[in-house]
Amino acid sequence: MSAAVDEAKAAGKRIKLEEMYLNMGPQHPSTHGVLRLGILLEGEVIIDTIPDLGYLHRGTEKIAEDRDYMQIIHLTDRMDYLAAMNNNTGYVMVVEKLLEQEVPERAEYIRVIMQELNRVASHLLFFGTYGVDMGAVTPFLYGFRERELVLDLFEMVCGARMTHSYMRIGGVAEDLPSGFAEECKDFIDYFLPVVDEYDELLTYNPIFMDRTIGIGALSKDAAIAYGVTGPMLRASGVPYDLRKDEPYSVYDKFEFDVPTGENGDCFDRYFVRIQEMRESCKIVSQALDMLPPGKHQAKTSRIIKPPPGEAYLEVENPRGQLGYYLVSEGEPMPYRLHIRPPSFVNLQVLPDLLKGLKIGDVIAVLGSTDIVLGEVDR
Amino acid sequence: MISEELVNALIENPAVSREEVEDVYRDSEFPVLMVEADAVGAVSEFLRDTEGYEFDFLKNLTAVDFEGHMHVVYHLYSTSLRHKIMLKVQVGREQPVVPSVEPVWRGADWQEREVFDLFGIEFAGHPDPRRIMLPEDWQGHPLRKDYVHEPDHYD
Amino acid sequence: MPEAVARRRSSIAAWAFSRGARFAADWDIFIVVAVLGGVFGALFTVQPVMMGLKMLTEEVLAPWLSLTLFNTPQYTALISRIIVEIVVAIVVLKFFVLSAPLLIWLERKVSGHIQSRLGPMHVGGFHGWLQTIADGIKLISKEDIIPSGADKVLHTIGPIMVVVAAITGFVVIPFGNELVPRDFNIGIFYLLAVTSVSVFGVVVAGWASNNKYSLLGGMRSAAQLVSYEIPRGVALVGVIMLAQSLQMSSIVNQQSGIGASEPFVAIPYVVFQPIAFIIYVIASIAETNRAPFDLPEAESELVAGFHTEYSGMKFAFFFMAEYGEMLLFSCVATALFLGGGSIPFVEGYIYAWTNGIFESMHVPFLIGFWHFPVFIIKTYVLVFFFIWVRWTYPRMRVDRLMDFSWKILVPWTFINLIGLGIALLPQFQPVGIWVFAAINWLIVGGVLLKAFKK
Repeated sequence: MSAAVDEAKAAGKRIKLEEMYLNMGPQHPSTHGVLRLGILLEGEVIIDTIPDLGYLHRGTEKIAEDRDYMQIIHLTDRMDYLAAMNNNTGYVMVVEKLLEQEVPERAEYIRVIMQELNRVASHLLFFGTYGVDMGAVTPFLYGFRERELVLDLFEMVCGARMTHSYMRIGGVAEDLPSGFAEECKDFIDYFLPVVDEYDELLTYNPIFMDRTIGIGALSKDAAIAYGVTGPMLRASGVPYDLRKDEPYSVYDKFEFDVPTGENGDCFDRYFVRIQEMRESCKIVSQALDMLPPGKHQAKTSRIIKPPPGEAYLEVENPRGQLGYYLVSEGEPMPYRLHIRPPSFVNLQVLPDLLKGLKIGDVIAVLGSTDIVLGEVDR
Repeated sequence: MISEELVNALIENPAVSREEVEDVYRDSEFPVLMVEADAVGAVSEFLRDTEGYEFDFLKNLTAVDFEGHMHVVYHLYSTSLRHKIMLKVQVGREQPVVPSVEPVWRGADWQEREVFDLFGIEFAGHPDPRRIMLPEDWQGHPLRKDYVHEPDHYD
Repeated sequence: MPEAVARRRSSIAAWAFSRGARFAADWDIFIVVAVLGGVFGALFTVQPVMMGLKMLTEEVLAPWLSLTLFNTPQYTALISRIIVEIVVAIVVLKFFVLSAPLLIWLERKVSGHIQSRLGPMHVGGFHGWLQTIADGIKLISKEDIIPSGADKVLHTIGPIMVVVAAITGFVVIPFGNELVPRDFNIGIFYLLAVTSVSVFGVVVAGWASNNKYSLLGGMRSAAQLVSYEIPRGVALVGVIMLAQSLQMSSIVNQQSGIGASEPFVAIPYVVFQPIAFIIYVIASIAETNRAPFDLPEAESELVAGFHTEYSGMKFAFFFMAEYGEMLLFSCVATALFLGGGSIPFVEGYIYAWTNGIFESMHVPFLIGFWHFPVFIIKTYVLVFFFIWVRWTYPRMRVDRLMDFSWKILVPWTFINLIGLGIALLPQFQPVGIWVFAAINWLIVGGVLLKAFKK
């Protein structure tokens, strides 16, 4: 449209063009949390986007300096509230790194099972909300119906559906209840054909494909330069997955693929996450088969006091790589805990992606970044 | 794991030195190098562009507040060579300024804004040096150890 | 003291309600069948009752009024006509007003079941049948907010225009053989003209809200409505060509074989015009601003649409208008493509047979008493299809929507038209029209095959 305007101006016609500033405010059905986007428009085309964060800033890092290491586990639940198991695991792992603490093998397997189930739950929610963003309300209810089953499994294990606080330094809080393995296997058997149903319903729907293919493509070099991680990075063609490239916990014992996209557009990001659900189910069934007997938590001292030092550790969250940077001075409370949130770094890409697109694509692109504002703002 | 030769080659630069610590746990995956504040831009470009180093991925950028000084901390990774390194820049507490690495790694954009917002460290050359989490008219930098909150109209 | 009384009263109501609910739960399926059967059975009586009332008015009431009461014998016909027209107008209005809540309830139940949940279950006891009435009461009792700076007159006129466009379309629908409220000989033309008035209503509503986002939404919606009017209209031209008439009842009769001297196997026009039928249905979905064409009014988009600033009854008007239009377009499609109230293929024979019987029994108003229920069944199958599509597909982007109309639907309607014109040439009769139908169905079959093959 600007080309036509320039031509007209060159031809000597007087055209007055106004840039319109549209505020996609903090309260909006589609911003997946409290995010404010200031969008500069020229007609229907977006010139610039100015995200405004901080609506959910709760000062987690500052609070962490005043809590002891056990209490911070509960803080980490609330950041990316959709992937609490992964958040917990990253935090306890960084503390265990400083303490040089051994974790019993059974606890490691249980951690893997919980993390992968949480990945499934998180991606199911993404699937549902992305459908709603696109206007298809039905996948939302199907996704949540399956998610309820996963949350029931979590409730069985730790009593909570969302903010689990299940991990402990040295293992997990409690052993798996009896009957959990059977229920989990039943869920996996039930779930895998359902993902095929989702493909039929939304993935290969021509209208959906029309709205997501080719929109908001993030190139490989831009993704690496921005420090994007997780499904967004893999959709752009970089097969970097911490579980495969730098296996932590017992991930090196499982066979699974890392779904990678080609173009980095919205459809690829969506498709990578759907495939990841299938891979997570594979991992869970392998882990259930290989679950060794043993203790669920190693013996640690009553007051956790890591030696002075610092450590940095990353885990693969459903949204990307969640990093914990811990500086300890030998006290029962950390000196500094920094959380490197994947959604925060991923969201930086948004203004670049949206340049030149139309208003109707904002929701498609924003939904495909799959951010959680609790993590962006901490 | 980055090889010792590469680390030693870096230390030949007078602005870069090994961190001197004793009896403190250090992450073996991330060898720590101290960099002078003025040289940050040049060192970052060198680390990204030189063959053998190829640190194209900025994993993390944050700051730590100590008594009397502050550290800006960079965790770097190379997607091609799979090695990691950690840089630390020491700045004082009065008017700390560090050159921005946003021209080198675009991912530093918001992370530097967050450090400015919560610590008060200014990044010279940053394209958009505004607060990011806290409101524009907030006084003070909360993550500093000496921050005292005065009740304002947000309370 | 009043507290105790209130508690006792509510507990009696609660007891009665729970007893009723338990009874309903145990005998659920029988009650469903009984209720549906009763309602359906009642539909069979509609035509006879209407015809009977008409006969009563003409032969008893009007003469009594004009001769006995007013003593003006020359005005008998006029008086009877006035009474009949008033009753017809009221009945048409009632049909619209009663079917809108029913449709809303149906949509909520069907969408619920598609989404593996139940929909309204609570209000009124049995599957929430009073839900829409409750919502209607709520909407009526809401404050009517007119934004400051908005044009008060236009703000009120907008929803009225849209509702009027929906209601007045029902005047020409041939619900049954004798059940056409007003059988214009330019029926289809009238219909297309009147439903286009809703575009004005949308634009006025967007403008009168004093809100640039409503205006944008209104403009977009108007552009969409106007774009989809063309495939709608041109798709109907094929039917007009086949029937050689614009009169709705004549089209229905030609599809059903009523009124022919010799009964013959009547064929609904969907057999000859499947592509036009499909295009008509798709364009109707777009005309009613329903998904997948509902970007102008989508909730999860930026511009919340032209009816953002409306509350209370005015919003209810927009809502009713959407469902009324959905019903209207389904009725039109039924009448023009599916044969109206006639039983497919065998109508002519049944009609002729019952005609003889009823004439001999002196109950001419019973003729064709099955037309209304059959019409309703066909219409509601189409309505179900509308609802089904809405909850299955995501939303199309605005420019894709326009592309779809102008680049796909419009060319196909014109191809259909030209093809039909050629097929109807006298040189090609009588086989030409069948060849055309075969080609049509081959194309439709090919498209369906491609859609289902992944």
